[in-house]
Amino acid sequence: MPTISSEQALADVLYAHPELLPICNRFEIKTGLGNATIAEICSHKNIDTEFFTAIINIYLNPDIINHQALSNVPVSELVAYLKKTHQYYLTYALPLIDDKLTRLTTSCKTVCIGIKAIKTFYDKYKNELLTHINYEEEVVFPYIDQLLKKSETEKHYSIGIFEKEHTNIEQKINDLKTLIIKHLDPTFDANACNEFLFELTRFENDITDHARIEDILLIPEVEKLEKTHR
Amino acid sequence: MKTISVVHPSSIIRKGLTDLVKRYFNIELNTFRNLNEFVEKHDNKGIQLLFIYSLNEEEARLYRQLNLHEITTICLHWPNDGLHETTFADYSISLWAPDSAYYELLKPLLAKKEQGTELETKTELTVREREVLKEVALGLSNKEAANKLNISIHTVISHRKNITEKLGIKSISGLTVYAIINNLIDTETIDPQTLI
Repeated sequence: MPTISSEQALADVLYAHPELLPICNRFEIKTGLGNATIAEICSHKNIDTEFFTAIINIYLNPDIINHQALSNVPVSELVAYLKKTHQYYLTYALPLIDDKLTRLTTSCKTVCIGIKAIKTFYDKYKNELLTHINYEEEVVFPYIDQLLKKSETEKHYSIGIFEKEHTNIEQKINDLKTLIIKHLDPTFDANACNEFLFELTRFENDITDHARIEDILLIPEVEKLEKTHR
Repeated sequence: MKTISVVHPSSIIRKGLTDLVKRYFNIELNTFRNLNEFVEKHDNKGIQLLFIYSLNEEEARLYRQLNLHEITTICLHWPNDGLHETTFADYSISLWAPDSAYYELLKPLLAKKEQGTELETKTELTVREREVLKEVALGLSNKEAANKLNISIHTVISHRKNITEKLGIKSISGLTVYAIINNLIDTETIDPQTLI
């Protein structure tokens, strides 16, 4: 996968990779882009061009495992991006999946114990996810804010604690898909099932990328900040 | 042509099961009052599914001599029956389970036979693996499961690895959902939704 450069027209990139559209939205970049390049758009909207381009490339290229591409990680912009991502999940992505799952469960007219178990499993996963997002918003991001302002921080907190909390939530989505695709007797509408799986997969890709951004960009930068703070 | 037999001392249970299978699958059941009667009167060639009650030691011995490898056996048990009384069979189902549980259990078993050639289902678990999976789904630790099943903890761990590999499911919640779908849990004594 060749690296996207900031001299490319963003419209061309999005035509080839429409999955990047929500990511652009998090930077307040919407459609109606004409032929403007990434650099032009970022300059016009006061966005760090290198940072935006790095985010796109990290999403498209799973081989990127560190932030060598970025000479300087703008931590406050990064946190703002992650917060926007959370809002996207809470107000759009998760409600959409909920809706698809409801349509799927109501389409089951005969024996439905399997699909009910799937719903319980998904609800439990969703609660874990919401708790994790809340933890990031209430504990981790404020902590980072304090580091940036060089003010007093919680003495017993460090980003290492967050790294441990960074549990492998994606495994459960994987299990959910496996259960439906391999093990469940299809006593429900096939189209409703496909819609659910499509949205679930789309979400899985996004949240996996979200976790990577935190691992590749956020945690190393905050560790640097912690060192200078002490 | 699928044949299902039921061996059970209770006439009401034989009648109930006959009615259920006829209603859901339109198949006639052959019924027998006990294992001895089954041994005397059954025609071995046709049977593919056998419902049987929890056997005592003497009956279990007789049962093993019958060499019923080609036949899928389902033990009809009471909620209080112990593990040793049910593990001779491939599957077990509680007599208190709802009709839908019987349907879910029988449907894949009957569908497979209908295809004639066995579809290579790599997801078929062995009896032992199903036992371990059941305990995991009920929330037991590896150690507790090992104690309950009278096997070593290493054996439990080994079974769990095989289960995960065969099923492609890693989380305990996911395995619990699988156990519920495949009727490994008695859904009348425990609400399965609470286990997940």
